[in-house]
Amino acid sequence: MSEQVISKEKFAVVGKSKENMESISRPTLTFWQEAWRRIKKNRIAFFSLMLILLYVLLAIFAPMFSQYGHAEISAELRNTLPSAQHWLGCDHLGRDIWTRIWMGARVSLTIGLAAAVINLCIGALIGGISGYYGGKLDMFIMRLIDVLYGIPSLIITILVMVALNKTGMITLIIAMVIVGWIGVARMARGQVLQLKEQDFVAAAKVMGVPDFQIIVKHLLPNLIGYFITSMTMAIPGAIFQEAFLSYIGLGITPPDCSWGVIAKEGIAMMRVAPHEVIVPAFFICTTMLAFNLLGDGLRDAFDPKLRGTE
Amino acid sequence: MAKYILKRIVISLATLLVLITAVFFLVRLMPGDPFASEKMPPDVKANLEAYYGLDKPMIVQYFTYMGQLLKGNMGYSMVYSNKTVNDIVASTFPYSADLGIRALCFAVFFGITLGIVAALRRGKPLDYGCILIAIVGTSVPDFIMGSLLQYFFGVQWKILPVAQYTTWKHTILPAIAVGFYSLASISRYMRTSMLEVISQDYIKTAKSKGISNFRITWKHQIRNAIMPVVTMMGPLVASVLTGTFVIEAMYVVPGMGKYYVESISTYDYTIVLGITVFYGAFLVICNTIVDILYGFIDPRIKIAK
Amino acid sequence: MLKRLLALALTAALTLSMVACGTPAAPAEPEAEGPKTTFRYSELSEIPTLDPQMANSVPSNTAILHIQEPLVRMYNGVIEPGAAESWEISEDGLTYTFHLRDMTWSDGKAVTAQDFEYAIKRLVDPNTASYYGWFACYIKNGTPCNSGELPLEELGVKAIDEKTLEITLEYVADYFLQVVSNACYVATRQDLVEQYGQDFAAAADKNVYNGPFVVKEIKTGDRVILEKNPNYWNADQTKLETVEIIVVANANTAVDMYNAGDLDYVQVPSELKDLYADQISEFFDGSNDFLRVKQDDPNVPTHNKDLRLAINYAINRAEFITLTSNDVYAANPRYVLPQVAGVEKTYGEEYPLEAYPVNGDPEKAKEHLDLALAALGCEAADINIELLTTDSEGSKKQAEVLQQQIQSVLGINITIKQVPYKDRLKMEADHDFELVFTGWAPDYSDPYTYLELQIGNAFYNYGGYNKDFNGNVVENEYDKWMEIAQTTTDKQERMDALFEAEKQLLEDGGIVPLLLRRVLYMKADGLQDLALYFLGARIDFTRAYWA
Repeated sequence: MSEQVISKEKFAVVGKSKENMESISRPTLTFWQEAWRRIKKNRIAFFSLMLILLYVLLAIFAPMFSQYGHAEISAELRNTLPSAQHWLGCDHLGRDIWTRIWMGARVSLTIGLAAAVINLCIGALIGGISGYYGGKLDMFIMRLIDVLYGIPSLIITILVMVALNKTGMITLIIAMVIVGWIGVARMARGQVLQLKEQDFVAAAKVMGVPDFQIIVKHLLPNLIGYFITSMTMAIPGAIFQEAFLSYIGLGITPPDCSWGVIAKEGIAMMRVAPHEVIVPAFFICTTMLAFNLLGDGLRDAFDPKLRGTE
Repeated sequence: MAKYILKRIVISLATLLVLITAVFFLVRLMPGDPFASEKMPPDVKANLEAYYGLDKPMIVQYFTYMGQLLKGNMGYSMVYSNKTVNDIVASTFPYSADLGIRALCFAVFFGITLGIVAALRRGKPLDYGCILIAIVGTSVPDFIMGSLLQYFFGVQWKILPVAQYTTWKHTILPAIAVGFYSLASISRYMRTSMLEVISQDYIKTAKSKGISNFRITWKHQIRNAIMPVVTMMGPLVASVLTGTFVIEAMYVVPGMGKYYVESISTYDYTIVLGITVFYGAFLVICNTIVDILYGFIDPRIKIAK
Repeated sequence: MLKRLLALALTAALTLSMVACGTPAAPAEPEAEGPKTTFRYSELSEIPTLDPQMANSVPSNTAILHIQEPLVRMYNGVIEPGAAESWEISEDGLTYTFHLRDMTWSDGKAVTAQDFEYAIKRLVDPNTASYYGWFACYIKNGTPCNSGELPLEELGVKAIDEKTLEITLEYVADYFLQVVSNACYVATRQDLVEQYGQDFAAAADKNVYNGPFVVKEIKTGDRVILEKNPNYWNADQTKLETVEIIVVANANTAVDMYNAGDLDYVQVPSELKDLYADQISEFFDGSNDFLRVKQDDPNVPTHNKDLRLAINYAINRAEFITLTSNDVYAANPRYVLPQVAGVEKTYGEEYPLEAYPVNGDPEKAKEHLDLALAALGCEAADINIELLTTDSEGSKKQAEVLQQQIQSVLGINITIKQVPYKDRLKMEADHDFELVFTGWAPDYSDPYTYLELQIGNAFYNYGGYNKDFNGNVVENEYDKWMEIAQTTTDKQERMDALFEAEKQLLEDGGIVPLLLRRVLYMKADGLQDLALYFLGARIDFTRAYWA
């Protein structure tokens, strides 16, 4: 066994300095900087983000630069396939699908995101409170949720329309939020029930952190993974719910359109002109794909539990 | 435990009462008229309103209804004039429930499996495959999914029957169409939840103690990760079992979904109420079971405080 | 613990499957040798009831006319003897005497004139609360008896003896035989109605039958199965042994089922027209769609006649039909359904009319618009009209095309409001609309069924044609022509007067006519003598057979 000797000259004493003793070798990053750094590193998530941004830009600008109106009908052009003039073909009333898709994207992306985010905030808060305090309050909130869940959502929607006495995106979002938060709340409450027994909560309590802060700052961030999952699931849900609601006269009035409406119109033509359903389905699916992959990336970026596990 | 369950049942009944009362008054607040018809002179409308007791004060109608309900009588439909809600539920619920159970079995089995596989193979092609399935499942709505399945399997390739609900072969396509969304969402939640669990300390402890991977996955990870899925099962079971309008219409399944949706836009008050009562009872029962299950599955949760 | 969970889940699943057990019924499809005797067709919506006096929809009427025998039968528009062997009409046209043939109910009892008397009185009785209670308005005291002002004894229906029924009319109605051929006028058994109460006719064994078929089974939400009635008076004529009426709510599914051999007759949605071009036939189902226009409200600009005419001329009905229905429906430039009876031939053949060019006339539309703007004192862009329609896919398409056509020609704004079907009906009846997409199916084959709706003080004059802003009827030509039509006994003069009224209505832009609905259908090879008609039972299989 040969002995390896490391020569002493390779080492030198650095010495002590008061200033450096407590300094942090890596640059301090705020929560958001850290998250952005991690997103950039995750190529798939970054690409997804870019795709979503592209869609948003197209939604804003494409209809402005299109030579066709989204409501322009034409008997000759109905159900025509994609061509140099009409990049994505024309629909059953001879309207240019490219223009319609981006007009629709404005509505669908706004509603999908707004409804999902608002649902999430309300649901997480109520669910968190319910789960954290437990006992009678929890029982009351959960039964209230049972009642709300039991009322057919269509009835609530119609009543919202009557109460607000106008249609449009705001009405639509309100109608969706009134019943939409329930699922998130149930989920959050279930998780908080589990988490609140854990030591870090006890520690926070001992240190005198107010309850509300415990819920918002300590419990809910631990659920970020579920929230992102439920949000990415909620966006397509909102897009199609919007299509359904537009049909009962709540929401987008023709000739304005949305992706859900375009898909619904397209499915009737599936046997004759399949591109009318394939095109909106493609955009909905790619958007969802992007949101899901981005969601995965965001989860990794924001989840306190996954910090430093790389 | 028995005391807890008893208490839970009493509260459930109270919830149901609130639900019925709320729906009773809400449907009457809606702007429509159950008897609106192309040809409806005022005399005929007055006759119909008197016949169904709609000319009485609302509070009288409410107590009459609750009295009948206590006797188990949910009243006659206003559209299907000689059918009672009891008849309609009794003859259509079995179909919806049958379809729902098949769809649920399909969704739960494959959903959980896919979720677990995706989490264990995180970032690998298998994971992305699972994501793709989940995305298709959630972003393709049932009316498109149902049409596509029906068109390709039934019409083009003639592998399975096009519609009607008679033999087990007829049940495959509608069950998949109904279950696909649930499958996708279950698999997503399961994956998220598994990933949470994997990074927990007790898993590391278990690993360091030399427990086999299979045992860790089965005994520690899945059991801990299944909670959020159980949470979403309550409403999911209730909504799937009581029928899905679009798929039932598409596959000619004589289920309850049609009545549930149709009765609202036709203002058929008795059916709306009857089905809400039935659905609400179902929901409350499912949620009660889920609450009790919580205690069984997760030792950390003490419900009976 | 996991085992216990599994066990619990399993028990739950098992209990539920117990509830669900027995669901998958064996298909009743024994492939019999010899000629086929089964006929299966689909309805988009469930048959709401088989109680004749409670029926208020085409599917109900169709089924009832196959299980019960009306006094007279209408087959392809021709009146034939039914339960009545013969009948006499008095000189003044007000008294109808029907002589019943010997025939029995499916429980062996004889069908009597009292059964018919009871049925008609039941229809009118306010306590029955029939949707079609108004359909007895032709009978003496029909309307006051229905509202409860007069007792039922005052109704002009009387069974003289077991085999003779006498009906007295309120006013002369040449079409009264068509009226009694409707489902709500068939005989009904008093003893059974009293026995079963509201459950009457709810199940196969809760009624008895005297028509070509009897009900074998009613499966809620699924299908109604009929069987040949061997005791029917004309049983030799019935060739089919079994008929299944299946509820298929999705029109595309129905077509797929037909192609898979699960249906023998199916209606084809207009989108699929080109796919099945070689197998498709078509018939007009009597639906006539038009826009009602609000005319008696100073806040709604369509009170201006020129604006109404401008809209009428701006619409390119031919293009509208192509875009919305793939040329399945027919553009309609007039008000009355042309298929209804005239004096000798159909009204449409005797009195052709193209009130507004089917391809539209933008020039004329703009002329009228200019006049309207001058009268209203505003710019085209200031005018905003709401178009009310139903929430179906088809209605949306139609509204979108109308919106584009009117806006692009006239430069006024049209907004679309979609509401559920019943809401639309209610808003219409409440006069709460500006323009509404609506329609009217004829009750009998005569132009009067359409034209009576627009008489100044008629209940159905929802738009307020010929009314001032206070809701009073002004003196007008239309009502004068209708008065002549109601009083004259000369058939030619009556028909001429009705035509004049129709022309007057269209010159005033009283409505905006649009289209006549045509139904595309496919039927299996070898299925013969299936009668399709725009009145009564839209599909009549009493004489159908397999070749």
